Amino acid sequence: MKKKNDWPFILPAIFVVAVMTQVPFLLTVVYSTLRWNLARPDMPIVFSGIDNYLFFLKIPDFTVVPEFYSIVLQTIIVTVVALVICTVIGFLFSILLDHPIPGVNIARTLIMGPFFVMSTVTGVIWKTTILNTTFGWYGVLAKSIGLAPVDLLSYYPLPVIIFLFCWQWIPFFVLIILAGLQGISGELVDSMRIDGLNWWQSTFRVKLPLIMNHIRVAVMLGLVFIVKEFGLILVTTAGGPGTRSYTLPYQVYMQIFSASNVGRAGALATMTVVLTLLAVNFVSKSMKKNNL
Amino acid sequence: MKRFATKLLTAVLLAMFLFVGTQGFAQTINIALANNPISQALNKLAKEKYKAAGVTVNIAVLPENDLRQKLTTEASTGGTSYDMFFIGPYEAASWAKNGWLENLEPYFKAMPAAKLTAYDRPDLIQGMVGSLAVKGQSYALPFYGESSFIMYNKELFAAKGLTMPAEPTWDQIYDLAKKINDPAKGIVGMTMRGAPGWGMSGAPFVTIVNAFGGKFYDMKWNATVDTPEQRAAWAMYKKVLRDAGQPDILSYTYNECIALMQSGKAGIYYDATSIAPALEGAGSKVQGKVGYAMAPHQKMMTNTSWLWNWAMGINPKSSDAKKKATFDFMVWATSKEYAKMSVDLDPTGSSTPPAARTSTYALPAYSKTPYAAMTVKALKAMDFTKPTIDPVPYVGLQYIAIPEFADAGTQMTQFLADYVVDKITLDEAIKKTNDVFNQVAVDGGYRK
Repeated sequence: MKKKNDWPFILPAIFVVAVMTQVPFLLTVVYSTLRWNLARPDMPIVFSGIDNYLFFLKIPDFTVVPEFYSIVLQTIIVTVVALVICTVIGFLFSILLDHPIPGVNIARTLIMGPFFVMSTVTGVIWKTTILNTTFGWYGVLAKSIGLAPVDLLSYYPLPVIIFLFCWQWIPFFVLIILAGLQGISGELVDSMRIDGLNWWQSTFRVKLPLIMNHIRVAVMLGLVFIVKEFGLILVTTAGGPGTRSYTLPYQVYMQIFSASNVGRAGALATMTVVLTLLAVNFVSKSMKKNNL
Repeated sequence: MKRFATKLLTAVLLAMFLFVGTQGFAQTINIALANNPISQALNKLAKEKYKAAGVTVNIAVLPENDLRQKLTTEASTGGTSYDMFFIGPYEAASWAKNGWLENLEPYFKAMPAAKLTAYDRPDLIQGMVGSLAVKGQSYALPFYGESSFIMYNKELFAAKGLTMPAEPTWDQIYDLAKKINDPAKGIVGMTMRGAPGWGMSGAPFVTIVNAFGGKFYDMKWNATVDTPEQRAAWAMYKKVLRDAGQPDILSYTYNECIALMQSGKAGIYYDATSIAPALEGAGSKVQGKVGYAMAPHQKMMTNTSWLWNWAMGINPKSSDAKKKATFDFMVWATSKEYAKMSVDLDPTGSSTPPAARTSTYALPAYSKTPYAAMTVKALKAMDFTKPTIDPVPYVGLQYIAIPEFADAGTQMTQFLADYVVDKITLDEAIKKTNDVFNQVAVDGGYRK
């Protein structure tokens, strides 16, 4: 039975959600219009309109790509490539783990491992004990077979970051996609066998379409998680060399914690939120449109 | 029986409340230190030896870049996570003006006469004290200080029949480093900080710029990064590290450089004078085999080293009781007794804070250390106020003493890193850096 006057009961919930999510965002938008440097309390905080946005968006010289645009491009490359690899490999791993072979539970638990390691710890382990050319395994192995190890973090920062993102996030994709595969009823599997479908047909023509909802969820969540991933970049490359492995969230961090510039950090954060929302919307729509 | 059980329970609960109650009166002061050997020694000694009634000292040791960002955010937003700020002269000058540091003079006035005499303020090295004071009022106490100089592995030099000049030029350093460099044997010619950050690779790099006669601004606050002198300095930094430096150039903070030098696999190391004790300490393979020379010069003949100290200041937003407890801890850590205690504990001197007190160099065990004489010489040779050949509107040797430099300097070292590993050309790096410094002059209201 629906009562007319029951809406006040949801007010506390609305209030909490608004305070937790919308107020900080609105404040960020307000900050983005101010000229405010925390390191200079002697300079007044003044309204500066869209100056902070223009600082990033303006193109003073058409022969040089401004920092902001190359960082946006880097963010897109990192996110898209990591998402594609995570989905494909995650799906393949899930198929492998969907078989009732002895020890499959141990295998499933082991493959979850990287997901439970904090991203900063992941970064430190890979950076110092594996990829370091002097002390790390990679350096020792390369030297033992007579090769001169290249400092991967400095010369190939983006591929290394993408690899580490995948290492960390593939388990998450496996978790969701495997849940989908496990949900396919035994009867269907049996009838596929009776109808004489081969492995290729049963996997890609029957199972894949059936778990598309799960894959969509994994991609959406993965997109949001990977875009905002920041700790791993901080401890491995620290955005370097130069700004070659900066992503938007890392640039926001540097603007506020290195430059103490509240206004510019606010503008950048606002643009990051807008771009992420657009990306999520775009991915969601295009997946629905293609009936994926 | 039931009654007894109830009584027992009441008694236990009461005892627990009382326990919690007394704990509530105890002060916990939170301190963050920079991750370097001398601060680690303080962490250890404070845990073992520092006794103050009702005070618990909680120390975290953080990587230098992180510490700087954390404390700057803390100070600028009025946070109270840390009661003591572990900072340097770069922060002290502007933070004191901004009201982010407690004036220490009232605390010294309130100190009992006997304690004040024992602390002996005039014994603190005055250049260090001066760099932490505003209008003669101290805002921080120097824990240890440093200049920069060349450290080299005498064994590797002898094996190749090379000698290090007492006052080398950068060209000489480059030649020597190349001759020592032997990748087949895993020997690195020269190691130097490569990890970006104004206080990381920025420190040696800016002294190279000064040595080559470069500067960052003219007297009207126009950025002057695009000059032949600056270009020569950028090229030298790259040349040394690419032709004779450590393989993972950009991941080397001073901690990695120290480890490499300690392992005996590096020929030359240009860094802080305060690092020498770690090379001469127990566990170092080069103990007793390190030679020392003045910071390299080039076009500018003297004053090409840096000045820094790690100092302790009080967070003005902490409670009065915590401020007092923090002050007492600072006085203990910067006292003569602390220096003596650290030498007694570790006669190699690698735990003793250098360049903060004159009396430290009179301690028998410490004055015999191989680096003591050169450290004193390096400290005497520098002048904080005249960093460059041409007159400039700023002070500071390895940095520019304006609040915006933390960010501008960090960006500069990022472009430098990009240039060192060939991601961008020298022209691009110079142009980008010049733009950043021009932007700072406008944003900060320096250019009239």
